[in-house]
Amino acid sequence: MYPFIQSYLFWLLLALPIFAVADNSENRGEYLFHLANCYGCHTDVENNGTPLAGGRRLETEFGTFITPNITSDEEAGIGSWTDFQFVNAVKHGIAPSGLNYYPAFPYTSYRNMTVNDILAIKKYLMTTQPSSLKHPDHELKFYLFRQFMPVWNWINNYLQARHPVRINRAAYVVDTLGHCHECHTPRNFLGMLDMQQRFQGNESLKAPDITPSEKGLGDWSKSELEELFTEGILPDGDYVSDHMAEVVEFSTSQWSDEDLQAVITFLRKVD
Amino acid sequence: MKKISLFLLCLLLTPVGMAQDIEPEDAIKYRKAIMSAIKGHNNAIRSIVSSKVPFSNRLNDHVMSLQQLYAELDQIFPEGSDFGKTNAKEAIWDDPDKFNATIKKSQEALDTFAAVIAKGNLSESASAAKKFGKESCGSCHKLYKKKDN
Repeated sequence: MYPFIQSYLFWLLLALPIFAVADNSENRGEYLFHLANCYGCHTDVENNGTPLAGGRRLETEFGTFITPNITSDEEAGIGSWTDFQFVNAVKHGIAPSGLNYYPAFPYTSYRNMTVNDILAIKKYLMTTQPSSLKHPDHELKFYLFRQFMPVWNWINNYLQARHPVRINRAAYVVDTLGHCHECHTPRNFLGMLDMQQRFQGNESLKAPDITPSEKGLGDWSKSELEELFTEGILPDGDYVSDHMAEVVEFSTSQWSDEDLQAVITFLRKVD
Repeated sequence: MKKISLFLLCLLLTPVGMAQDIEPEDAIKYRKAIMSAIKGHNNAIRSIVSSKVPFSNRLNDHVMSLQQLYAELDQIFPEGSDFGKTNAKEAIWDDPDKFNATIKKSQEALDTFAAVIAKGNLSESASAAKKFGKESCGSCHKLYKKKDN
């Protein structure tokens, strides 16, 4: 009996701050949803797809991933998911069925998101229009199997542990929510981020170097970075294209001025 | 019969016939030149409306040049100019109706912007320039331009 009470108290104490803060306004969830750029990948923007109903084809060197429906629909979307299932999916890349997601879904970045923030996003998603759209399986290279993912995760966690998590608001926006690494850091042959070359660009994705070096953002002024994140304009007057244009439209242009300034300062200083 | 053959030969060699047979690489070069010109005028406009340079008397010239260049947009993506040194996406030729509708929206955004410029209020023009850039260049690049190498 005593151990049971102890265990009960432990979970209650752990849960209290979560639920106390998780019960926030929908605006907070919506803002975090923009910071995490869920819209861009989970909407088939090119074909005027239903918002968040998935079906977006993500072409990668490992094949084509077809993004899932994350609307509030109970069958096709996340409508019937429990909070635990949602947190487990976002932080650990494990679907309610127990199957592992592929890291095309950036749980490897989202794992540092706080539970409160994840639940705020879920709360916002539950307010969105349900869609019953279902999609076919990914079209991947023959050697990729979900069953390998636990091993992949283990190796990836081992390698990433050498690179400590950067802790401040801007790093949280850039590294965790914005998951900028996923495109702007090169990957090894197993598809794991090579953190030795953090933010030095990914040639196969045509994602440029965004370090403060000369090759990267070294000669960008503060106002040029502001224009990039708010309007998608590059220093030469061109406009960003393709996936980055979506990142600007659905995420960075929605940042608060406080987050924008913090990120700019961070990007111009970090190694 | 000889006369008819000669007539057909002459018809094939007329400048009209030649104009329709643009080499893809020339079409791409021309397209890039038009896009560079648009970028140049756009940059000039942004510098003026943000009061970085004092040439507000030239604002209308830049807008008129943009209008002329925008009028060409539906002609500079001919069939066959979808590969080679271009960042244009296949989606342009896969669904030309959708692409032409996007161009039309861009042209309308420019007309709206030109109307604001004509009022002569710089601060109003500055915010209109941002809206115009997003609704024309930005929205087109999002769907139809690959990332630069």
